[in-house]
This record gives sequence, structure tokens and C-alpha cells, in this order.
Amino acid sequence: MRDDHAERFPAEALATLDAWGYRALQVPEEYGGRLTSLEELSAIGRVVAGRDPAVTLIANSPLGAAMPVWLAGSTAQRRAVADAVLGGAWVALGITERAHGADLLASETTVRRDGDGYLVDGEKWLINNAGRARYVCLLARHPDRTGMRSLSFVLMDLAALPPTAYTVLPRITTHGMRAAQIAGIRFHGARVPAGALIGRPGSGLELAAAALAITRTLVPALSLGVLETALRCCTAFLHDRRLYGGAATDIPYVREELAAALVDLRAAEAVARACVRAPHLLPDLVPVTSAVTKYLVPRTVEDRMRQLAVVLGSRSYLREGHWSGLFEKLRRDVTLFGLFDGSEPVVLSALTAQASCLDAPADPRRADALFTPEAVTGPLFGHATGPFAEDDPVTAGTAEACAALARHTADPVLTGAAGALRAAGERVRAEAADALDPRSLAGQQFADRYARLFAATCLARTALAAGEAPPWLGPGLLALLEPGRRMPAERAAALWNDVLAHAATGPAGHPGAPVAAVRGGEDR
Amino acid sequence: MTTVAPVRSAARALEAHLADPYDPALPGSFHRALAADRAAAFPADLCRTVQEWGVAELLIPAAHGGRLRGLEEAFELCRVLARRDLTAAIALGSNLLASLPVWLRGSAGQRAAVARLLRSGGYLSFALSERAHGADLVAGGTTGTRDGDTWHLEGEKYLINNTGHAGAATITARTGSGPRGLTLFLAGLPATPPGADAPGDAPADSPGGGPGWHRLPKVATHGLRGSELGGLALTGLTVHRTDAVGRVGSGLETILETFQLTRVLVAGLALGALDTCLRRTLGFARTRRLYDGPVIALEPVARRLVDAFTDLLVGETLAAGACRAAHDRPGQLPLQSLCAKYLIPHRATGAIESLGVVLGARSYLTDPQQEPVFEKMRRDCAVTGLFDGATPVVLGGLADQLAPLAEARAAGRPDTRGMTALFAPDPDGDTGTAPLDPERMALDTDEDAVAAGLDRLAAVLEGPHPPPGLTAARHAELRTLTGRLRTALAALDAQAIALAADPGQRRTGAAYDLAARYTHLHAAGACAWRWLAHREAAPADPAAGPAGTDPAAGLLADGGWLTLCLRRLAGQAGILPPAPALDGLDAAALTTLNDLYDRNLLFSVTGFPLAGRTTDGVS
Repeated sequence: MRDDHAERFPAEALATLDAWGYRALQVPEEYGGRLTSLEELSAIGRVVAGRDPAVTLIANSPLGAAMPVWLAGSTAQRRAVADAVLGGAWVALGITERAHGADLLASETTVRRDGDGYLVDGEKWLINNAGRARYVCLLARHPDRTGMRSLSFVLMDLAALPPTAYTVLPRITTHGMRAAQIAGIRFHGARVPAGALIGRPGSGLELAAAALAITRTLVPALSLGVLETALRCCTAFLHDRRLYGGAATDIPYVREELAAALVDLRAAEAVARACVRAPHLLPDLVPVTSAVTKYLVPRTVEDRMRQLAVVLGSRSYLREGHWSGLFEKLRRDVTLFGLFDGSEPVVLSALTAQASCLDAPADPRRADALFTPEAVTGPLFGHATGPFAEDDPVTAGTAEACAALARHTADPVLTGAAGALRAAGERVRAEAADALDPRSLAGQQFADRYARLFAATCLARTALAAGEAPPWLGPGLLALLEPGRRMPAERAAALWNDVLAHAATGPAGHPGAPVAAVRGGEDR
Repeated sequence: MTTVAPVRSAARALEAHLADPYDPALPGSFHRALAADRAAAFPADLCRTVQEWGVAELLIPAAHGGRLRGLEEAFELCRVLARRDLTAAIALGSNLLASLPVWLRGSAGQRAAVARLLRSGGYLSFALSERAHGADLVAGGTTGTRDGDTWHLEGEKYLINNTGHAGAATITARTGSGPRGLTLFLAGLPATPPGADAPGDAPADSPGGGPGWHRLPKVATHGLRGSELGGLALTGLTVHRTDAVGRVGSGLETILETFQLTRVLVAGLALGALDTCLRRTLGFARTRRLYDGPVIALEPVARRLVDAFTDLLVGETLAAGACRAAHDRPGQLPLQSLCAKYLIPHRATGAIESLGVVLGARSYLTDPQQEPVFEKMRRDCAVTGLFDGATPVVLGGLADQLAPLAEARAAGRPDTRGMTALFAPDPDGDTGTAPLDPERMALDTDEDAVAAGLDRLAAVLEGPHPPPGLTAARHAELRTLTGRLRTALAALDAQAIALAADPGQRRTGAAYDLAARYTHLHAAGACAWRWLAHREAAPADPAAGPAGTDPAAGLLADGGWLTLCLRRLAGQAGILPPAPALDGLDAAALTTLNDLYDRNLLFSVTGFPLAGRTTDGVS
């Protein structure tokens, strides 16, 4: 909290994570680090996010920013970046420009052939860790090329450049994540060797898409960590708050809202988990899974945080007091997760562009492994991820999953949800046949429905794979399919003990997070 | 030259006096508001400028020697000041909140004292809420103990605006038991002279105090960071018998009457904030290029802009009717103020979030060199949902009224006399200016004459002569929309009666959701009345009307305005699915929005001119 208020780099918290070994998780095992599983990394990142989203943003930046190198870099590049990161260096990703935002093809930063090397000119904006990073993975345009193959990533080693070759622009302060150091960086005729290009010349746009697909897959877990803590914070406050002669949590509305938050958390984590396993298990589906999870999970969390703020009342507005005003900070910080590495309209457009995968017949069994309870490890970046998914074996299993869920006749909410899921599947499949413009309103609305169908199917198949139908399953499916719809009051009441149990567990108390070592005193 | 109705002339004069908000040299500029916010400093220059301009006279009702003729005047002032800086608007608005109990129920001596303080540039605090109780007013722990001709006040008031610099406060204390056990006291809070020692019983970090009381330290908040928000510790503050506002034991009633009025003013704050956020986002969308075209050419962006504009149009309609009803139909005000208090801040905050998606990363920046106005407005506006009754309190209050309102509707037509005047875009000089009369104010509304606007509208649309000015297609759409809204209202009434029959349903999410949906149908009635009032007042032929001077006039005349508002409300109430594409009406609304922007008018149908741009800075 103090770093946030002072807009100060969280050096102490990062040093603690380093001492625990977090940095090694930023480098794949084959290059000397300890990263073997994105699922494991996101489970750990989630725990850190539940304490301080700004710290997790910075702590995870070496992997995210160097993603072009891990995906397409030469062995020498990978080794150099790995060694630097393990030695304490930071990496920055230079994609965005002030005047162009998401329109990458309009980039004005250039990389020009100059003898046996290249000259780099131009300015990138809103760069996390600018000023601290040794390496910048920079997206630049070849001035002699046009179109989809006009961009390349360049690995800029600032330590190898003369100080006159670049300028770090003044720091830009932000709504949340105030401890992060965000700025711009400008290169003026910076000379780099031929080996600085990452991947083939002209591969920048597809490499950006592939790199963002991985980071979009990792971000949602961080949102979940925030919701987890926010729910705990709200429950604790409302449990002790006296209103109208009882505890605030005696008011049915308050219980319903807290129970709905728990349902959102459980539902969204099933989606995030299935999607973070996709790069390992079903890489050809990553263009879909990355968009679904990046759109739906941060959004679900943000919407729920707004609802929780209403329940919490004026305490949500204070930067002090209960838990040091932590809720207020989380609310500011969490908004960034929806914005960066592809904002809502950008990821929705990306998903609409995948609509044709719904037309191809697919074998649902190909996706089974996404939903099994066993943890996944394996080659991280070995498979090439294409720009388009050929088919969708996840929603190919929607009808089958609905039929299985519908057998739980003792749970009318669940059978109702199964019916809603089946109907959603039929509608989306029918609509996928229309060729929609990804940037049109109809295109975005379609993507929203497809994402919801996909997400609810992930949840249903996860529950079926585990052979469980917990009482939150039906409400969870409906929360994904029809956000804003209230679950029956009786069901919310039945979930109340789960809310209390959640509030009672510590930040590292959820399964699958082997991180007792980051436990420590919360600033309360 | 645009003319504005007399009720808006004070706001217009203030807006002109504050001049260009983009000129960093001026106290009313965005630049200065941001600098103060960043330093968590009170916007003293802006407030002093507004006070020197004479705002005190507009915080004092004409009946008590000032110049405030109606609540709508205060509403419009809130709106134009809030569009620059909510912190300043709320500090001055809190003055009105704290003095309203005195205007409503106070003695001549109290009124003179408050007027004197306001005219001297002082501040007042409305000291109601407490750390441990919040919304539960009756549970307050501050006590007033009688001792001959005096009362001793003890307790703590927390999260109170202006306590850092207030010269007086209206303090709620328990003087008996139950709902009739609360009393309001007007207490002077003299400033500690500079350099003087802190009063004996105040802790070292107290910003000052006097015998029997001290100020609590400033509270750090999400938005409104420059506010003098804190609290008061009462450790035996002695006030005189004559400092009680109204009868001893009448505090709760007076507070509820005051909230009926201020809840409408809060809506003005939210609308001012939304105007600025929409203006900023529209400016961005017009100039920024993405994928080889301006951002505004992207259909989802245009959708968000039109929706935010419509939220503003609905909000100003609902609020204007409530302001005027306070004077002319006070029996309607309890319901109207609850609906306005829920719907307008809720929708304004939602619209700002939606516009943030258009601005993208820029919505997240606080850097003075980048796009910071939006970010500050978003934080500041988030408070409007909390003021004077947070959302659950408002929806809970409303939920309790739904069944009686439904029964009244079933029993017969409500009295709708004078309703068109309440909603006319430009009220005549007599509307909404009768002195506020607490004896005519009610605690509940018996029948909803606002929602009855839908019935009147249906009668006009179904009448033998199709309303002039409407195309056949527009007429048909309006008939369908009105029919669906009325059907939805009937269905809601049935649900409300069923819900009320089950005591276990009180304070459930289902009850609150029903109340929230009701506010949309109520607002649809308000829009119906406004359009009907416009038809009565203006020639039906758009070409003959004042369309040349007021960009919104054409949209009002051809039924586009009404269709837009009803579509939006029906969508928000879950009656209409989202449209898959923009249509001609959306395009017309976008044209009107751009026109208002180009002519530097408020995003409104009131033709309200904003101060001219004399600089070309972004913020």
C-alpha cells in the first residue's frame, strides 16, 4: 500500500520474491530457469496478485516481455536473455505507439538495414519497466516493406548501446499499478547487429500475435487473485459490520452478493485453468482459448469488483481503514488486466476472426486433457501456434456435456443451466456461419456469445471430468452465460458456508498453489 | 445566440464567469483541478472564485433573503461546476446539504446565522454518519444530553465532508429512543486561530477544534482527494436549547426531507462528470485514427457514444422533473428522488466505464501530460452512488414502496395534473419556484404520476390522429416500445405484490433488482412526459422550430429523442435485446452529439452554452 501511495517501485516486495526464487520461474527450464508449466506459473502468480497486483505485474514481466524471444529467438538470444533475467535484469516489450495503439501495422518505429546490422529509430509508449530494462523486445517496421510482413521484432540490448542511441521518456503515472514504472522509450539511429532480429525478417506481426496469445493466457489468473482477496476482504468487513440490529451479513442481499462473487470466482478459475493448459496440450486452439480467457475472466472480475464495491459501501472508497484500504487499491489495479495485452474490443475482434473453426467437425476427445484434474507440464514453446484454429474440440463437446449435466435431476438450477448451455451452443453454431466483420457491432456481440459458450463448456467439462456437481456449478454456468442474472436466493443461502470457508482460508490456501513460501504478514 | 430558460441563467452566468476550462491559468480549469487532486489539496482557488461570484446567494432560498428560487437552479449549478471539478462542486453542495435542514425547519435566528456564514465564504458540514453505523441512521451513537438551557453532544461523526474547514455543522444526535429520538443541532465550529495551541482534549494530529470538540484528520479517498473530508469528535460540545433545528425529536424526519432534495442534486454531479467524460471521449474518437479511419467510424465505438449520450438525456429529464416536483408536486418527490438517486449515478458511472473502453489505455493515465481528466472524473463520479444513501439503501427504500404503488396503479388513474409542466424542456417562469414547504412534503409517494406518462403517451400514439411530425415507421416503433414498457410495468407490479406477501423476501437481491428495474420504467414515464410537454409547447414541424439554433430540437420534434430514450431504458430493463447494428436514429443521435460538441453546448436538450474555448490544450 505504501509503494502504491508513494508511486514507488516495489523493490522490497520484489526482492522477497527473488529470494524465494520467483525469478527462476520467468525462464524456461532448458535455459537454466525453473519454468516447466504455465499452469503452475499462473497459480503462483495468482497468489502474488492476491497480495499486490502491481508486484505481480512487474515480477511476471521478464517472461511476458521476452515472449518473442522464447517463441522465435535464436539459441544465442534465448541464452543471453535467460542469463540476464536470472542475474536480476528486467525486460520490456515495446509494441504500442502513442498515436496507433492496437493498430500494429501503423507502427512508425523503423528497423533499417545498415551494412551488416540494422539502425532502429522511433518511439514506443506505455512500456512497463522502461528505464529499468536491459532488453527491449521492440516491434519495428521495415521501411522498404508494406503489409502483413512489414514488421519484425528486434532484441535491443540497451547495455550494448551507447547512451546517445536511446532516450527513456519521463515516467507516466497511472490510475492503478502506481508502483509500476511505465514510460516511453525513443531510439535515435540505434545500431544493432544482424543477429538482433528475432525470428525471420517480416515475421513481427504473427510473432506479436503468438506472444500476446501466451500472455493473454497468463493474465486472467492475476485477476482471479485479486477477486479472491477482495471477496475475503468484503466478507471480513461485512461479517463484523452491525446494521439494523444484526450483522450486515444477516441481510439476504449481502449474502447473495458474496455468494455470487464466490460463484464467479469458481467459474472463472475453471475457464482460466483450461485455457492456460491449452498452450501445452492443444496449441492449435490457442487463438481461441487466449481470446476467451483474456476477455471473460478480467471482465467477470471487474464487474464483480464493482458489485462488491456497492455492497461494501463507502468503505470501498477509502484509501485507509479496514485492511488499510486494500479494496480500493485492488479495484484500481485490477482494471489494468482488462486493458493491457489486448483490450476488450481487440480480443473480441480476434475471437470473431476465429468463427470459421466452428464450421469444421471436431472430435471432443481431443480436448479432454484440458479438463482433467492432473497438473500439466511439458514443452512450453515447442509447438508452433498458427494464427487460426482449424476446429473447436471444446465446444464440439457442448451437447454431450449438457446431456450429462441434465442427468442431475436433483439440482434444478443445474439442469436449467444445462438447457441454457445447449441453447447457447445451438445459437452460436448457427451464427458462426455468417461471415461477420470482427470490428462490427454484430461481430463483437457474436464474439461475446462465443466466449461465453466456450467458457461455460470449459466449466461443464471440468466438472464432469472431476465427476463432481457442486452446488455452485449451475449458478456458475449461468453466470458465464447470462451475466447479471441472479441465482435463486435459496441457492445463495446454501453457498453461505462456502463463502465463510473462503474468507477463513489464507491467501495460499487454495489447491494447486505450492507457494507457502510467499506467505507473510499482510499489511492490515 | 442561444437563450436559456430563467432557471438556468445562474448556471449559465457561472459557466461564463469561470470561462475556458482548458486554460491552465484559470481557477476553473481542468489543469488546476488535477493539480489539486494530485496534491490532495482543496481546490481553494476555484471555490473562492465561485464564492466571490456570489454562489452564497444561490445557496439561500429567496424566501429567506437569498436568490435561490428553485431546486432546479441548484441542480444546474451542480452540473456545470461538476463538469470541471467534482471536489469543488461537492464542497459547495455540502454547504447546501448542511443548511437545508435550517431552511426547511430552522428558526429565523438559525437562518440568519447560516446565511451570514455562507456569505462570508464559510463552509458547513452535515454531521450525520458514524464509523460503526453508516446507513443505519437510527443506530447512531452520538448523544445529546439536556442540561437546563443547553445540550451536551458526545460521540464521533465520521466520513463527513468539509469538516477540515467548516465554520458550522448540522449535527444529528440521539436525544431520546426510537425513530423520534433524533435531533438536529446547528453548532458553530469556530476556527482555531493560526498559531494557537490545539484545544486541550484534541490529539496532536487533529486539524483543530474547540472546547468539547475537535476535527478528525482528513480521510484519504479513491476520488475527491482534495476534499476536506474527515469527521468530528464531540467530547461534550455544548449547544444552546435554541440550536436545535426544528422540534426536539424531529431529526429523522428532517433528514429524510433533506435527502429528498439533495439526492436529486447528487444526480447533477453525476451528469456533470459524464458530460466531461463524454466530451473528452468524443474528441478522442473524432481525431484518433485506427485501422485507416477515425475511431468514431468503428460501429461499437459509435454505439458507446450514443448510449452515453442517451443516458445523459434520460438523466436530465428525470432530474428536472424531480427538481420541479419538490416545489409543485412534493408528494411525488419521495419516489422521484429515490429513482433519480439510483438510476442517474448508476448509469453515469456505467457510461463512464463504457467510455473508458473507447479511450483504452488513456483512461488509465493520471499523468498531467497525457489524458488525466477522464481518470479523475471516473474516480470522483464513483462517489455519487454513495452519497446521501448508497445504492442498497435507496433500492431497499424503493422496494418497500413497490407494492403500494402497484396497488394504487391498479386502483385507478393517478392525478397527473401539471405533469407536463414538470417535465417541459424549458419551464415557464412559475414552474418549480414556489417556496419549499416542509408541511407539504411527504415521506412516501402514494401513486406514481411520473410512470403514468406511459399511459398518456400510449393514448396519444393510439389516438385517431397520428401525432404530427412522426414518420409512420417512427410512430409504429414508439407504439411498440410504449406497449412493451407498459406490459413490463404491469408484470413488475404483479411481482412486487407477490414479493411483498412474503416477508422473507425483504432485503433480498430479488427485491432490490425489482426496484432497480422499476426506476427504468419510471424514467420512461418521465421521458414520455417531456416529449408530450415539448409537443404542446413547440410547433410540430421540425423545420419551423428552433432547430436552427438548438441542435437537439429536430430530434425532439421528430420523436427521435423519445425513441432513443425509450429504447435505451427498455434495453437496460431487459425488455429489448441489444440491437446488432446501428440504424438511422443512432446516426441522427450521433450527428446531434457532434453538433452539440461543435457548437460547444452541454450534451442536453436545453441548449445550454458552455464557456468558449480560448486555448487549444487537451486538458
